[in-house]
Amino acid sequence: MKAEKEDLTLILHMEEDLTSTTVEHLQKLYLAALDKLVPVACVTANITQVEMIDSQGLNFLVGLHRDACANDRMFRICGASPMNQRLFDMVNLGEHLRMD
Amino acid sequence: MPFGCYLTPAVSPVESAQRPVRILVIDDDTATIELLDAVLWQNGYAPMTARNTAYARELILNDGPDSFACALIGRDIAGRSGLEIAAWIALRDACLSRVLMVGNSDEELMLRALRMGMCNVLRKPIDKKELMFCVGGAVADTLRKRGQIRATMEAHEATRIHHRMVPDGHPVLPASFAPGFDRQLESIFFPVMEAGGDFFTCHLIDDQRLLLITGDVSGHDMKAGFISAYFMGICRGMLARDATPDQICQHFHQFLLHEWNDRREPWDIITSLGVCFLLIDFGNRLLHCSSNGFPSPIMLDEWMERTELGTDAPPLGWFDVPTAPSKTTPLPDCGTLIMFSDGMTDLCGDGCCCHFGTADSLLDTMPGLLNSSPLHKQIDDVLVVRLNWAARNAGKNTMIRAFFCCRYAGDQHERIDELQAVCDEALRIKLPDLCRRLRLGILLCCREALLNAMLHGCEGRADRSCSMIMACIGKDTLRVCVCDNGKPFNLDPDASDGGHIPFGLLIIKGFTSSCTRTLRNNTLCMDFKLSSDETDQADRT
Repeated sequence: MKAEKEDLTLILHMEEDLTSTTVEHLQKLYLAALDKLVPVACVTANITQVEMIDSQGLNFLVGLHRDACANDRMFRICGASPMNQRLFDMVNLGEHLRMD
Repeated sequence: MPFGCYLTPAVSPVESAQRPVRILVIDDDTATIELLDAVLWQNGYAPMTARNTAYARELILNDGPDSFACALIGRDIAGRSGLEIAAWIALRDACLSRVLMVGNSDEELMLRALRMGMCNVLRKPIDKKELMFCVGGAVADTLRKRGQIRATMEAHEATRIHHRMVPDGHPVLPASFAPGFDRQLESIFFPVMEAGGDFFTCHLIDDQRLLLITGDVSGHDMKAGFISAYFMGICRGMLARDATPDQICQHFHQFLLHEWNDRREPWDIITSLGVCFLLIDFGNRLLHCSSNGFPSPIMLDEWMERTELGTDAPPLGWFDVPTAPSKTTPLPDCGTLIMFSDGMTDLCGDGCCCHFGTADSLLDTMPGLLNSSPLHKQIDDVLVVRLNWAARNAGKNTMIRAFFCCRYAGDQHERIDELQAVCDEALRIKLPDLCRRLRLGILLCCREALLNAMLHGCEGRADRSCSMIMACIGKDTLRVCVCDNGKPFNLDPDASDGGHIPFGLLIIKGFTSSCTRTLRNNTLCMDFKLSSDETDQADRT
């Protein structure tokens, strides 16, 4: 995962699948990026390169969302493939998270 | 001494054949011809002389190269090179030994002669003892090579006969047989050497009962093939006399014990027969199976419930004890079963329950593409038989073709990416037209179900395991069943507690066309429609 900051937006470029075997590491990278790049008003998860998201991957995204809400930040997801968009629809994630 | 040496013993013409052995002498030197003619006749050979290469060719073409046991060829014959006629003879009969006669020490010529396969070189003037030693060895060499070729051809013929008795492919069952069922029978046999000792034969007992017999004679050579053919003949004869499988088994057991093995020489190894009789009674919906020293057939029903049909008993011919009794199992409406020799078990390898997957790959193996099949690690004869059936009154096309099976311990959850890759490979091979989106959806569900089975059903423990089976049901459904022996779980996502969102269940419910849990074995069955609208050509990979 690569992290960059544009104005007050932290952009997380996900470069691997969001699955049970990757999310713990991604969570650490996210926290490290946040520490390094504060202040942050908005967090964007760019999942253009993500092919598969499993249930733990969804929990990871929901965790990012909750963390953002708790700290008065915005959270959004961009670049979902049709397959992942369908997955989000399936679990009603679109109702709670902002998707671009 | 002549140049070169012989490892084969020389054969005298009197010992080796009733007719005198014919030697072709090709040379234009009158003195040499007269000497050879006289000496060869004196020693019981029948020399035929040719003073030029044209006449030599005529003799060979008229009488056939196999009418001669050796050709003695001069270095130069009426202006033509002796090597030239030697090469011409080799093209017609590579077994016919050719000896070059040279007038002086021409090492370059001798080397060329030996490199082109001539068996020896004789130096002129010819010494009679050297001549007879050389001719004797050359004749023996010719006879040995011809004997080997004859034996090889006979072995091929025996193999062809075995293939006629144990044909690969789809044995055709007549339409009048068990008309209430769709059924498909397939078999394939891969011997390690030529004929081999594994065999399969099927017999229609009447219009509702089918008897499948698979066996494995100890060893995998021509002798094993010979005994398996004898057993198949006995089966056919006794079945024509209405004998039961148990009677046939007992009869051959006694034959091996008290006739065949009792008559063996001290250096002969005991012969045994592993055999399995499987009687499928479509009328009464029953399976009767007895297996003696042969792997038990395995059946899957439409919910991928696995049943071993056979019993454990030693092979026929070992101990003078009664043969295994027949075991009866109900025949489900739809199912698939495989019978396989232990050669296939060896291919399955690492303890995973991948018999159905291996069997499916073997039945799909194309001649010439053996490297892509599990056979690249074959060490024994491999025989596979598969029977699929579906009751027509079930009202759905439910012929089952299981193509992937695996079993994993509960503590293997950290290998989930690797296990997912194995599933992906199986899908790519068996369902190459599957669109990418559907394949990813299937893989996601498999991942979720396996993780759930390992982490919750097996509680992550190494001493518990879960299994996954993939099968095509009819033409347009893929069924994936994941089974563990742990606690049952609730398939209703709304029933979950604690505010936790059960994403795994939501994913499985979302991607499957139907999702059920069987109560008998805590098995999650996920169906995927293969003919989904999502099968978009542009989405294929």
